[in-house]
Amino acid sequence: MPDAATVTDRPETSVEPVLQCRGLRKAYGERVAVADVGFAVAPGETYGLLGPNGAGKTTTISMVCGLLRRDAGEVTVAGRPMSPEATDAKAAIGLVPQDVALYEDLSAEENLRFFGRLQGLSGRELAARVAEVLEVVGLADRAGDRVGEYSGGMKRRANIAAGLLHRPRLLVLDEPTVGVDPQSRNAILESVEALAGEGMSVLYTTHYMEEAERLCDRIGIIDEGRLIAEGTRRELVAQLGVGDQVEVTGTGDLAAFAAACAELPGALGAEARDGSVVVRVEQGSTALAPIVAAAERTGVAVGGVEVTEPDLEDVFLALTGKALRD
Amino acid sequence: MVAPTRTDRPTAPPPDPARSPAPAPGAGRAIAALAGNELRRAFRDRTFLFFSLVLPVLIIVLIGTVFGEDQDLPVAVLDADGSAASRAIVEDLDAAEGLQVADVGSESDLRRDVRTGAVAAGVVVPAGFADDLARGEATIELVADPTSSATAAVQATVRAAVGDHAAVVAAARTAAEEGGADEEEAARTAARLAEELPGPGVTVTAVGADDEPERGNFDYTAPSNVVLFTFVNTVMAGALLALDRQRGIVRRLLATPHGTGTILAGIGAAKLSIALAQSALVLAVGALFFDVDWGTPVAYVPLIVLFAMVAAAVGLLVGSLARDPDQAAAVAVPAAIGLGMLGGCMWPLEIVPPVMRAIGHVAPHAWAMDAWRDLVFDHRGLGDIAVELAVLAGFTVVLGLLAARQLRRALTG
Ligand SMILES: Nc1ncnc2c1ncn2[C@@H]1O[C@H](COP(=O)(O)OP(=O)(O)OP(=O)(O)O)[C@@H](O)[C@H]1O
Ligand SMILES: [Mg+2]
Repeated sequence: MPDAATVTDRPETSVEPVLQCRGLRKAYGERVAVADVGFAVAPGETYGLLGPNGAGKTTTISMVCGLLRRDAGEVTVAGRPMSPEATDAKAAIGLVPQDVALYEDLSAEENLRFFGRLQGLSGRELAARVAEVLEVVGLADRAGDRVGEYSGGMKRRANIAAGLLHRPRLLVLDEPTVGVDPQSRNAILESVEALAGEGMSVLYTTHYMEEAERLCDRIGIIDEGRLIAEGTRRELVAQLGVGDQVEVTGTGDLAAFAAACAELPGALGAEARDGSVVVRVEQGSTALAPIVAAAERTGVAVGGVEVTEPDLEDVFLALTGKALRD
Repeated sequence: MVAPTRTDRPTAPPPDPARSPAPAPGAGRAIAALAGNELRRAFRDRTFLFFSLVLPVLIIVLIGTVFGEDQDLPVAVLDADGSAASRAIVEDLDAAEGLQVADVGSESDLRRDVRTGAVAAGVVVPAGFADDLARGEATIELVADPTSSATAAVQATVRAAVGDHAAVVAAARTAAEEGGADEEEAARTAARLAEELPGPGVTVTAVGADDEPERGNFDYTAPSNVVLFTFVNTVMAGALLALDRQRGIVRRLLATPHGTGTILAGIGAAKLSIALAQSALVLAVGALFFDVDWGTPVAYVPLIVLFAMVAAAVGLLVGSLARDPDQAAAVAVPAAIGLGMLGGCMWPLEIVPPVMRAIGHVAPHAWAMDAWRDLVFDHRGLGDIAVELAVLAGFTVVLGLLAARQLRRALTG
């Protein structure tokens, strides 16, 4: 029983993860698309897979959804082992593919009714769910139009709607905002936030750092087929060890001020520049008061203070030596 | 690698038993949904409708008009026996529907007329025919161009005309390539055909004009058109699967709680329905306007259904194998027409060398045409085409399984 194995592996866990995968591997001939990926998504959690083009996000998701046979590794969804034949495990997932996968010759409503039927919905329940998801993605007034006549953003929203019909326990979104205008993009992000707010578990892939930061409770950073870091945004940044940066502009003996800052508890380093001092600290918010006190002690008149936290871009750069986006 | 850690979000709700995965909806309902969806799409596609429903009818009407029973085929007849029996045969040929008989003086004249196309075929009643007939081994020789689609029609008519008098072996010969005419081959053909006829000797079975069905020249072309068109159209329709694959729709279908077998069965059911509608239309037009007698529905319905299933399976296999829709289309049409040629839809397999006939039976068309010949020419029943039906069922199963395996492989790597 795979369920039993899962439970004994993590005896401290009282809540069964919606998705558990480990050791995933997939090679296409010589090219290793996914080398080693494993993570878990807890009920109600939004988990982000953040990585550049070609990192292996879609390949990972395909294995998670039972669309791709894996060379190695395990996937359990809602406690059931996943494979291309595992219909019960697949029933727990709502997949929104990276590229719009709808019948362009049918209306959004016809598409949704069809996919709803495949998910086992029928009759009044089907009609109600179709209306609901059209509302969620803001397409209710265009439901009767052929998908082929939709704009790119509308197609993507309809594409998302088709993944929501059966209220999946795990919603899997593969880069749902690529190539859409800012308005549609915001609408998509808001829908995802709303669904997560209702308690749906979400697996979200993106190469946009801001999306991962905004939506995800936890983020896995993926590069060249490997999960190279994982945690909340704060954990990931902390893992970086570079700390926040506090820049104080002012006049006076900036060198003495910098030296004083470097001695403060929690300080990682300080440097006097032209008209300002840059202090790197473990946490910007708690370091502000001691820094201002040090300025007073060294007779520096403070003009302004700016705190910058490192972002996931910096984390990615530190981990891989390259930028997330080129 | 970071070990999977559980989030400590306090808001994580406990698993809701009401939302644990529902049992997968039944395959039957999924197949119905898939088929309904495909049909909805098909009926919205005017081009597709034209090619699958209107064009075959137009073509059958055109061919029917050209080959229709009003236009008798000219046939040269040489009576080298001059007996009462041979004269009776010639008279019967003369009286037969669809033939316009002209006497010729010598066999060389007859061959020349066939070669030049002055006549569609030549019939030789050899010297000693009456004696042979008495021994039950009588032979009538049919000289015809094997590449002509009229040959089978003539042959069927000749066989029907003489059938009441004798067990006849119509040995077709290639007038066009006389040098290559092989006696042994002809003998084998003759032997095979003889088996199909009621026992040797003069068989007198309920003689009467009513008993002898009319046979227009269209009787050969009509079944061959049903077979050819159903196949070409259905394979093309099935190959459209490559387009849905390219658009990622088939992948999305597989993400629903269903396997590739169910998905293929649903899509295949729609293609099959369209093929059946098409066959039914052509059969109706043939029967109503051109007096084609398709035989008994008990026999031709399973024949049509099984052949359409083979065609759908081939289409889905092409759609699963192809790299993209362009490649699917590029393969589907020539393959379908090539198989039609090989399988005797352009000219009857009875008039090709045995090796080619054997090779031709690689194509499901050959089996379907064999069955149609039994039903339309010889008015046989379900039992007589059981072998052909079984072979077509075998084609369906094997090709369907291949398509399912190929689709699974193409999708899941
Ligand atoms: N069917 C395939 N055949 C061969 N190589 C493949 C195939 N699918 C993916 N790859 C390769 O595997 C690697 C990972 O691809 P994948 O699509 O998973 O990346 P991704 O992270 O989703 O990228 P993107 O952000 O561009 O969508 C890439 O190098 C890609 O070229
Ligand atoms: Mg991708």
